[in-house]
Amino acid sequence: MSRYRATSESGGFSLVETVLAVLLLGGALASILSMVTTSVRQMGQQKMQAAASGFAAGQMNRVLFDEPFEAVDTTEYTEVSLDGIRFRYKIDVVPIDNASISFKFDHFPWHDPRHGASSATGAEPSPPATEERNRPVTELDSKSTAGGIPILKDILMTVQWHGPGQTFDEANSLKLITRKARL
Amino acid sequence: MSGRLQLLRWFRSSLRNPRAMALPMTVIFCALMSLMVYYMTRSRIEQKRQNLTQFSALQAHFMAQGAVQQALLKFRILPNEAFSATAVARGLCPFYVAPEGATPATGAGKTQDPLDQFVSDVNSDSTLGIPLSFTGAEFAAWHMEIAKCKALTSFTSGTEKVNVVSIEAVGMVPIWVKNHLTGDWESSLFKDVVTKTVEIRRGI
Repeated sequence: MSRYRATSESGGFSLVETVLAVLLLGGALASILSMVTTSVRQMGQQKMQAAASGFAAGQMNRVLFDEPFEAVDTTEYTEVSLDGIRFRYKIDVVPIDNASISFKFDHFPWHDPRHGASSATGAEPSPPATEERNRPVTELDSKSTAGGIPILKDILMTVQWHGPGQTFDEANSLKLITRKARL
Repeated sequence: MSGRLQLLRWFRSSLRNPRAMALPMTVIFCALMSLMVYYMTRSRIEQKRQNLTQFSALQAHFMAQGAVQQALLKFRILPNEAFSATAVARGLCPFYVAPEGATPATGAGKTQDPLDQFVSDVNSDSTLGIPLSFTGAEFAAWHMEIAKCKALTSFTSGTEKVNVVSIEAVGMVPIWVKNHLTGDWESSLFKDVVTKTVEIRRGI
């Protein structure tokens, strides 16, 4: 029997010590595991957000620079799947009423450029001083309304996304606004 | 203080006595795991902040692009006025044809004023410019404008007079930022600047 009895030098785990260690380890592991699980899930969400950012930029660039002005119109949600992430986007377009477009501009009563200029040197007489110009600034009303064709559109793009086993919701949503002109 | 010393003593004695290794090892293991989780959480929070910033940057960028479009439209509708304003900003008479290759002289009337005035209504202001069509609290602070318009150069090329203008558009959207002095979250504006260079040509 004495062969199996632990001596004070060689030692072994005491029951109390073992129970305490197990309890401590269990509690710590449980909380750590739950935090790790949350972290991993949220990291997944953030990866999706980063992907959504790129997706939204791509779609908006297409609408702004690739599509002809006339083709840009309000759409319903279009769904796309990329790298296991489900995206959907829609565009709301508001043509700006041409009657409300008026641009300010300045009138310049110019001197005759042929008088006093030296064509040999490239020097020229000074332009009129600021106070000589026709002020105040006038408005150009509705010059752009010819044919009643809109020349400016406000565009709102809404992009939503979700991962596997999820659904689209407002929390995972990004809105972008821009303005497109008929150029 | 004495509690900490006691803990240290107990820890030292545990290390000396192999019979009491389970607890210290567990404590060390848990501390390391906690450290790992702490940095993981911090990295996640940082990533989240970066994503939100990226969203705001994207929103501000496209607002600025909208301002560029509005400015280009004005240049398209009023090319003569734009040309004149640019010429004056360079100190030149817009009707004067400089010989090819000559360095344009900058007259005493050189002033940025006409160009600033030309773009003064290129924004989404409700009174000055063209307001955004999308209203509501969500978009109340969204804004676009041309912050600066600068005449870069003027020259004659073949049968055309050319004025080169740089347009600096700014898009603004609201963003929440943490004030590291007070620790509070404060509403601020995220700005993005888009610069576009255009040539305005007039036949001689």
